[in-house]
Amino acid sequence: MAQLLSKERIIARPGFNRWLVPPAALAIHLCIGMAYGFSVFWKPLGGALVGADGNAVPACAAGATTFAEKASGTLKALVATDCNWTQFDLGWMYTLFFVVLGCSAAVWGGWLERAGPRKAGLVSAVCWCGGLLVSALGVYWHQLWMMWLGSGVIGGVGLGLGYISPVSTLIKWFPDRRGMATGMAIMGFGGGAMIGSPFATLLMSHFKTPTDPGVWQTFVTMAVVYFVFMLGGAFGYRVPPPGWRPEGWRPVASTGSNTMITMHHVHLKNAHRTPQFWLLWLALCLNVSAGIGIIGAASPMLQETFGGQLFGKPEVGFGQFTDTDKVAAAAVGAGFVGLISLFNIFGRFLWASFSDRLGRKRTYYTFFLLGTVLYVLAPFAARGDHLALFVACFCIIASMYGGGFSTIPAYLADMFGTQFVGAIHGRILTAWSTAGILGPVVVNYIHDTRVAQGIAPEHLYDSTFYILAAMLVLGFVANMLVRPVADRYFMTAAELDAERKLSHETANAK
Amino acid sequence: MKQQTPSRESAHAGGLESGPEWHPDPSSWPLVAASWLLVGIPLLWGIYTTFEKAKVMLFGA
Repeated sequence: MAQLLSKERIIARPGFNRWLVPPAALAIHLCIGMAYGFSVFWKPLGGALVGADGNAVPACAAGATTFAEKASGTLKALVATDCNWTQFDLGWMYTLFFVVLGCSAAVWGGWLERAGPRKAGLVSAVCWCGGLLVSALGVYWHQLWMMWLGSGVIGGVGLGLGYISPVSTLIKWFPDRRGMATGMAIMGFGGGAMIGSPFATLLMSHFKTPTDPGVWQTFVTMAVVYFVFMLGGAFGYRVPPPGWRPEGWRPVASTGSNTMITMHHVHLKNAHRTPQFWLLWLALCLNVSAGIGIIGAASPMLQETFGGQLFGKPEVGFGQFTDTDKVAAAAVGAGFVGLISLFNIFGRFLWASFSDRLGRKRTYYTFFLLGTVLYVLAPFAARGDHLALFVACFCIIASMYGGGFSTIPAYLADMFGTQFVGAIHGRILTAWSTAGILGPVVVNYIHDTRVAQGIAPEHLYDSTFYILAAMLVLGFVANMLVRPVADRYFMTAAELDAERKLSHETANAK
Repeated sequence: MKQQTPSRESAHAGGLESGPEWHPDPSSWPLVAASWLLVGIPLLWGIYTTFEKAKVMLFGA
């Protein structure tokens, strides 16, 4: 078994087709991308416990209004078996997902580079699907802590390893199209929820009974299906022999036409000592922060800003919605979320592919410049009731949010070389974890403060947009300061050979 | 790019400059097509279901 998983075993033989690697990476990313779609379980789980009268029993945090009261309810919900969970209790799973994802990618990225993508893909499958099984037990026994531990922590480790497992391999197989190759894989992470959410809904409607929402059975089924897919992906990985290149292709830097692409390699232990690492960390963090909060609040933002205009009653404001209006507005809000998701995933592929021609630095410049303009434009679109312009602004912003994720691996490979790019990418994903907290906090805090100040719903987000635009300006400056890495950080030939021996990159294929 | 030191130049030479290169085996293309179908079909289904929701936004209820 150990032999089957070893890196020596997966070095490709001459004639191997590199186009087999992206589908393997997609198979893993499409499965772990379901993390984005977990909210599909919140409502069924919120009414999982049913009383003798056939109605859902009260929530553990019933009647809580302040943060402290809700948090106290969550603490009770962790082990209580006689009250239901709220969205607030379950929402912590998202925080766990993205914090653990970043931390595990940072901690085990170095191991991954030496162990190879097959072993990492297998560990990822065991963690993600094993975590789903632990969660299934948690739902069955109504133990919230098991949900958190299963999907949030154990599954989060699977997310981190699965996310970075193909990065280094794809960049080595596609030195001529680094952005496009990693963009394809990372598009899968964005698309995972598009498959997983409706799949989970189908499964829950199949398994549900009058007293059981069918969630634990759905978790078990998804764990099995995902395990098969992820195993297929892990065993589909092949790594190229050191220095492999597509027939007839010559490295760009050797022609002297691109000063932002190095031919050398920075060791993982030195990457965080370079200013470039922290500038790119900041650029990614700011780009993600500017997108994540607004994407998370997309549906209420649209409803509050445009009110009855969304369903043909422009004279009705958000505050005067009847129950029928609320249903109509929610449907349009869900459509907006769907549209943003589509732009998010296609942005991942298109922007990353575009960066192969434009260059990574210029692509990031585009994100920050265009993003700033769009955020400044959004309040004017809202004031002028230009719904189409407002929607277009956020669709483009969503595409650049995705594009930031998919372009960063190639940017890192250009700056730090390919030897440790997967591990360095893992470390930079802590920026995502940070942004996952920063972005929603900024958006929700400003929103709640302005609601408390009595500001009209259609103007609630104006200052949020300006603050997010300012964050993008900071990101622009960080990107502007990125220069080629100083020579002293690169590995020498002897160090590189020693590292390749440690990484088992010199053995023959089997 | 700044001037490289000799030792880094040899790292360069031992790295990207002297690797193997090959054309993919023609018989591998059916497997490539099958792999893409296997991941592409679920992805297209997911995109279709999301587009169905987004239609409300684009074309009205």
